[in-house]
Amino acid sequence: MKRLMLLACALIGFGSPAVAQTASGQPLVVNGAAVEFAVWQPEDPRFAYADLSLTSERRAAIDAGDAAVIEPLFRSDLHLRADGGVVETRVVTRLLTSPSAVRDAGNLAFWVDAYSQRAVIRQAYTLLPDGRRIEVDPATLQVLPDTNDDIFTDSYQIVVPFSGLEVDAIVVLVTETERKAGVWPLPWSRIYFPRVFRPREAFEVSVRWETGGIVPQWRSDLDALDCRKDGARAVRCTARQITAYPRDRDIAYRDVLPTLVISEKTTWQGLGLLVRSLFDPALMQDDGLEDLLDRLLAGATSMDERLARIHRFVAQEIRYVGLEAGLGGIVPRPVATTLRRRFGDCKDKTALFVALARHIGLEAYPVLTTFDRFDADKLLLPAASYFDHMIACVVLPDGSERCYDLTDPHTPSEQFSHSLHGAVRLDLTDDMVGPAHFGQTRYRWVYDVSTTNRFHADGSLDERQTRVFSEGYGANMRAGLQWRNARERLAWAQADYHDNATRAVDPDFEFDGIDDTSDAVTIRSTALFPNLFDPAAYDTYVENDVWLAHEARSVRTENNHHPYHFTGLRYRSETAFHLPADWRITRNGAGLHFVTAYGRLQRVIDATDDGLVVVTELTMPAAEIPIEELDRFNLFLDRIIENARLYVGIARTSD
Amino acid sequence: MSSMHPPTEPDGLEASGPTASELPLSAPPPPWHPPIALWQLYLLCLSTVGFYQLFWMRRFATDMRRHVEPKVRPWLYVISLLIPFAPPILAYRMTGLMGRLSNTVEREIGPPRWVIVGAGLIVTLMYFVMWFIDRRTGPAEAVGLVLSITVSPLPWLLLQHQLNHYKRSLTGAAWTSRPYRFTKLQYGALTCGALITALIAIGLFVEFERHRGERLDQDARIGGVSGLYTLTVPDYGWVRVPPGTIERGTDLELYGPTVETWAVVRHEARDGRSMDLVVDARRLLIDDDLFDPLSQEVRIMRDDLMPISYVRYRGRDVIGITQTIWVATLLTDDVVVEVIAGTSEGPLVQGDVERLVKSLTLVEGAIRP
Repeated sequence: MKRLMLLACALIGFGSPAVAQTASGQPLVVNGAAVEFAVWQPEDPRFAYADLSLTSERRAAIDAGDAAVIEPLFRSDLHLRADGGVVETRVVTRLLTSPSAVRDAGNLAFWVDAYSQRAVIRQAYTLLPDGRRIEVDPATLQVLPDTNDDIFTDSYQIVVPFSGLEVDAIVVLVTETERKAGVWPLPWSRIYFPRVFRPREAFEVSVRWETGGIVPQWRSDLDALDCRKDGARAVRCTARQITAYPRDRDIAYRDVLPTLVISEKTTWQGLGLLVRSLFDPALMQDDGLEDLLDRLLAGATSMDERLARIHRFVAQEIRYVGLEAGLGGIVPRPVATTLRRRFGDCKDKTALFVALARHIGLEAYPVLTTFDRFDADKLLLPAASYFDHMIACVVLPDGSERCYDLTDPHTPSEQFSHSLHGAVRLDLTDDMVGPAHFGQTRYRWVYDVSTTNRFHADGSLDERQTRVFSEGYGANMRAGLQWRNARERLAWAQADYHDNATRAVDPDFEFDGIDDTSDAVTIRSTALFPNLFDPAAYDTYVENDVWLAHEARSVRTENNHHPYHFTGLRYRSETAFHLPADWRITRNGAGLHFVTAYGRLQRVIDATDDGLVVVTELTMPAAEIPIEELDRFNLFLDRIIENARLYVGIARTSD
Repeated sequence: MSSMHPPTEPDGLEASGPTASELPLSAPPPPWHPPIALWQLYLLCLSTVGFYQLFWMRRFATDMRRHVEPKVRPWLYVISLLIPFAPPILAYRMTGLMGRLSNTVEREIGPPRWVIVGAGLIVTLMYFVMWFIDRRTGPAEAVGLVLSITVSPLPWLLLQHQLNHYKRSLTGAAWTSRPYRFTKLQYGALTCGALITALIAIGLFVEFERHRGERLDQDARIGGVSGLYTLTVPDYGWVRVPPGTIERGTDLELYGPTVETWAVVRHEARDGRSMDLVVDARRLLIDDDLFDPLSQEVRIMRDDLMPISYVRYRGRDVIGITQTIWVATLLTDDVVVEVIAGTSEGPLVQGDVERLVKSLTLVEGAIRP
């Protein structure tokens, strides 16, 4: 019986055919049901192996760059129809030059928005060096819904697994995607990345547009891309032998990858007005706001306090749920709906916050932004597709501006979500002139450690430590601890202590400021080290400023090819050593005075009545570290780690 | 019991006491310290680096108290000898006592008084010249030491010459020991003196080596054999001596204005050692040389991101002299360079030592940072 049930599951979930036969092609299938937005409709193959293979000289030149996957051709033909619809025919190819490439890069995938698009797979096959062509089995095509937690969209990923792969096989996928006319209220745009992380032998984009349809504009920052008009209503951009773009870890790729933007002609102001026309109606239906404000602001005396209460309510009591199907991704729900549901996405929460802020007399407005772009110069043409996030800003009575990311429940009201510091912004206001940047604090990571080490005559040591995380570090720690229960928090803190300090003890921990964003996050620990030393023979105590070393290690960069956008670190530790009555300090460790272009490390050691206190301060302001200084930047951090030792010589007074 | 009574006259009268002529028989004159040859006295003074002068002064004053003036206090003479301007005054008083002694025998003995007082004056002048002489120019200290050892006994030799004359004229005088022979104490002094002399000779040799070294200009930049680094000479009076003069295995050696101030530079492969490890190792070595030294360390970072450790040690050495030692430690990826400099001099020279150590600079391109 059990085996029968398993078999049934397999048939329903995995064994059903991926396409269903119809006259206009075979619709792909999701959970046994045919879908309209994706169709398998093969045409005669257009490519043979010889068309896409590389000459031996060219292959040798690319192999020297250690590339396992080469793209012989990327082609996109855009047809902007008179009715406003857009059809893109895209050719994607890959030459797999190694067994690992065969294993890891043998699937191609693309996304389709079921609401506004329809995709047709025209060609999908493997070309082998011996001339054979192996068609993709349509039954193996996979249609996957967007699986983001708390975000529900019409987007589907279509995965094409290629058959018969071997080393030096070339896979070919030709798709045709139609954006339906009249369903999308924002100006059409398409952003290409001509240079990607693998070599491309040919990159071709052509656009032709019909009278009455979308009139495009185009711009690229890749010098090698040659864009030429091809008649009155066509343009063709081509580039050959594009080298792979170097990878790095600490980089916002959208800021550095060369792009080709093709968009419907508009201006930033026009785009802003259009987005506002979608946003503003949400503010009209504001039932319940007055009651909410009466309750929310009772007893609040200052504007700061009112704003903080509104912010905390929207950020923390309206949970994040994104219903992005249809136009849900660009049109916010009425604030009354969001208030009633107690959930919403970024623009729903922004609309609610803007409405509440305006109700208390503040000038509030929405701002488009994104977590992935920090260089406004890379927004080559006015286009909405650069932005995927919305936040709210208000003008305070003193004329200054304060912005709130309402999807961030962990950042205090008086701070702006650190993930967006320096990000591009497009203010949806009357006087907006174009993209700008959010401001940036000097120190995203602010960390204070206070430790008391009390030696006892019996050879034990009593350690009491208080660690305070502020600014972005506070929000970060809060996000990491809030969802854990007390037992899980203790387990995490002990593991963290074991990893960084010592495994010799299991300290007790207390936490503050986890749920209340108005306080910094504080972690207190107490640990007793019994029999730590032999009082008769002990003369030196050595420990590391482990959290200093940890922080220095954590802000090192692995970049090799790109500048490092360092977000700033401020660390202070105060370590006090208290000796028993008949003991004295005989010597202490090194004072530090490291002053560099990247920051300053200072350590001062002062005697106290019964011991000494060591104060270490590291200040490294936010900075853009140029490529040629990456090694020096890391070297400075290494020097900090090397000099993290705290050293105390102790002896009995009678010695 | 009768034997305990004083002798009585035959007629039975009890004696009233000794007569004047009988006094010497019943209370003999106190003994003299024996005459001593001038070369013996000079040898004792030289071999004990002048310390024997204190004993001699006690002998002389004791003789004068016993035989010329009971009010003479020998300890006062001994202490006075330690005062730089005292020799001419002492010489004047001592020749006065000798004069009373010669009046007793009614004859002139030895050199005239003004010669001996003049010799004392010369000794005092020598002390003052030594005090004010610029010790940074040349081997002044060694010369001063040799001068003080050789010249300072002169007035006392002249007095001893007078005294020997007088003592040779005495007949039947009692001596505390055999004339012109070293006593056991003097032999002991000679033996100890030989050891002290040997030590001083070594010191003079060091001073001589320092004197032979290359004189360095103030603010001159100097480097060692390796060519890895430079130091800046903090003041004039510093000299460079060949590596190995002060310590084995060094790359550069310097003496300051005196041999009490020195500096050596060592370099060796880093072998993956951390700054902490290198500094700790040096600390252990200095702990062996100084008694319970106080240390203070600060590390700075240079423009090339190489940290340098500067440690100041201060403590007493085996003979109780306070030494101040500065150590600069610089680590590159491959090499450890240490500058170690010490002095027993005062704050001014300590400042020079600190400046010298802190002037350590790597030669650009010589070491991979």
